[in-house]
Amino acid sequence: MSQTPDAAARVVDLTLAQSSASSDSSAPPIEVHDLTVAYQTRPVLWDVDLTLPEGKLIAIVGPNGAGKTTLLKAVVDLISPAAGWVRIYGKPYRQQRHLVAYMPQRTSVDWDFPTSVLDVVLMGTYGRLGWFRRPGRAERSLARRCLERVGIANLARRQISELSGGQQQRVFLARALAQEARIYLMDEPFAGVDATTERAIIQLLRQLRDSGRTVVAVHHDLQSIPEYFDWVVLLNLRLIAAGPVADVFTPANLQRTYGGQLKILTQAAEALLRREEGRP
Amino acid sequence: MDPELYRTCIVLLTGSLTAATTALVGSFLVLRRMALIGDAISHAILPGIVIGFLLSTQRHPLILLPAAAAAGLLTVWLIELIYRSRRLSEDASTAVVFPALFALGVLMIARIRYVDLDLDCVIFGRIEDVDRRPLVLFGTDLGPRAVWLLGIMLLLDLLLVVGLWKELKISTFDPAYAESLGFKPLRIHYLLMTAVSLTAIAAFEAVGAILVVAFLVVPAATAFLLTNRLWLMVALAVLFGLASVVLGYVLASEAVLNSQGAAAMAVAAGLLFLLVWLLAPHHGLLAAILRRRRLRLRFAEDLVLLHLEQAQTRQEICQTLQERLRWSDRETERILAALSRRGWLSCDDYSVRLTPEGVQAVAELRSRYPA
Repeated sequence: MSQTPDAAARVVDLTLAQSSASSDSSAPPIEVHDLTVAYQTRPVLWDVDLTLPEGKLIAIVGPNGAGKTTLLKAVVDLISPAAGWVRIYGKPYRQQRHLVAYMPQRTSVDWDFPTSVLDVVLMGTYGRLGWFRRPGRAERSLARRCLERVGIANLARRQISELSGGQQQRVFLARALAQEARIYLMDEPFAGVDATTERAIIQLLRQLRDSGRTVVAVHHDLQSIPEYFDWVVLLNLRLIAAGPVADVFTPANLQRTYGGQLKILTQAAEALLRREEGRP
Repeated sequence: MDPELYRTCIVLLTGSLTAATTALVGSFLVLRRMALIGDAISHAILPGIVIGFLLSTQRHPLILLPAAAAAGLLTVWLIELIYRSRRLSEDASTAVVFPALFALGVLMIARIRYVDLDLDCVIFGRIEDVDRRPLVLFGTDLGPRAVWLLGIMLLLDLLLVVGLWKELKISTFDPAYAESLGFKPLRIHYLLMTAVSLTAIAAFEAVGAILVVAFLVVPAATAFLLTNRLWLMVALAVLFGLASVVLGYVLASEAVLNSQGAAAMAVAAGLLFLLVWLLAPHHGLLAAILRRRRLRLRFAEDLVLLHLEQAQTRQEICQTLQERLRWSDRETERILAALSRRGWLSCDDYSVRLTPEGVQAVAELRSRYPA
């Protein structure tokens, strides 16, 4: 990316100058302050305070309806909160779009839309192009490289309705890669994919993390958390806990997150047990 | 020029312009699953037209167009307002709003004396008479007004669709993602709704408020069945629109139906859709039936092949399949015949034997369905 957060930070931001937070490059990638979101009158997120570290693989975990998707949407400004704010490297999202790649749930779009795989991946370059400019040769070759990275370069010309669930997920991932962002926000990247795809995706997320990117993923499978992620955010309407997996992913915290949902707790217990035995 | 030929040309030109401009915006309505919103807008602009008429006492486009656009946007906004209050579904909200507005327009035309609008013409259009309503500027007759209006609208719609191609595409396919990238799907939505309102009013003079939706939706829906690329869908939608106009014109002529042009064109659009829906290579009904039949036959063949190893005679295989799958002898015979046509079986009246190719096919099957 041409613009680093330092360059972006040079723009004077009055709201931030007044607050105590600094807007230099040491600001955390994502800072959520007192965030409350309500649909109609029912709150979906309640007073969430959260600061996420740079260069980590971070899972957002919680039961259905815990507000995981809502948290991601609030970060990328798709939902206006009832209270609180979100900062990306110390600034509001709308000034930092170019640093963030958002990957919605695969099921949120109509895959019968008449277009090709490459065309969907190209959409990842639209943000950088801005209004009116069309993607050109440079964007096309970037999109092809992104398809190669997710292992489906051979499907570039395929109509998107002919894809399997795992292939759809890879297309979305390639589209996010094409944004060349510093922060990747992914809503259930492992939902409904086969084991091969899951391995390919986690490998890719690790590569992103190892190159200094911050990756945040909504995740459902508690068993794989210790193996896949560095950090975990436990959410159930309120923030239950957030921190390194070793500190936060404990039976007590899971009990508080999931309440009495026995099956999930059993899964988690197995995962914890394996971790203590020192194998993934 | 022969006046009759001139009229024919004008009618076909008006129809073609209508078809092309409605297909451009209509394609996006279909993809956004908003076909009924198009219907709602084209009806609900009627009170806007009447009010525009009252303000200008004639059909001056500079007043009619903004009035109709305002009415169209008001419709969309009202529908969304009712829908968002979360009790009524979107289709119910739509059905509440637009008939009320349309009927209001009808009442206004009937009650306000000096509104010189012919209700029949407003509702059904009178494409045959477009040459009788000229555009007069500074005392010069510039030709049929509808042609001018539609021509300008076609340019505007082209400008919108070509200029905002990638923005329309991304906000139609994945609005949340578009929003996260900084494109404003809501603004694009209202821009498209404005375009639909303006297009509907430009078209209504030719084809009427009710049939506009046939031009907005049917050619685009037809094109959607035939292609997997957006640009091709839009291009095909325009082509189907043009074909409907020509076909409709022929249908309406004195030699065939001797009827209203606009209605015949809408019927033609429906006929073209029916044809494509039946015959489209991938998404057509016939293709689907054939595909299913082929699959069923293939599956039956596989079953027979797998049973053949335990049976040597015709009678034995028929008996086995009758016992296990309750197939009639006729069914079994049919599949046996199909398999021999493939060259996998050699049959005579009594015995049934796998050919070397057949043996190979069975081996392949076994590896595909491991026991």
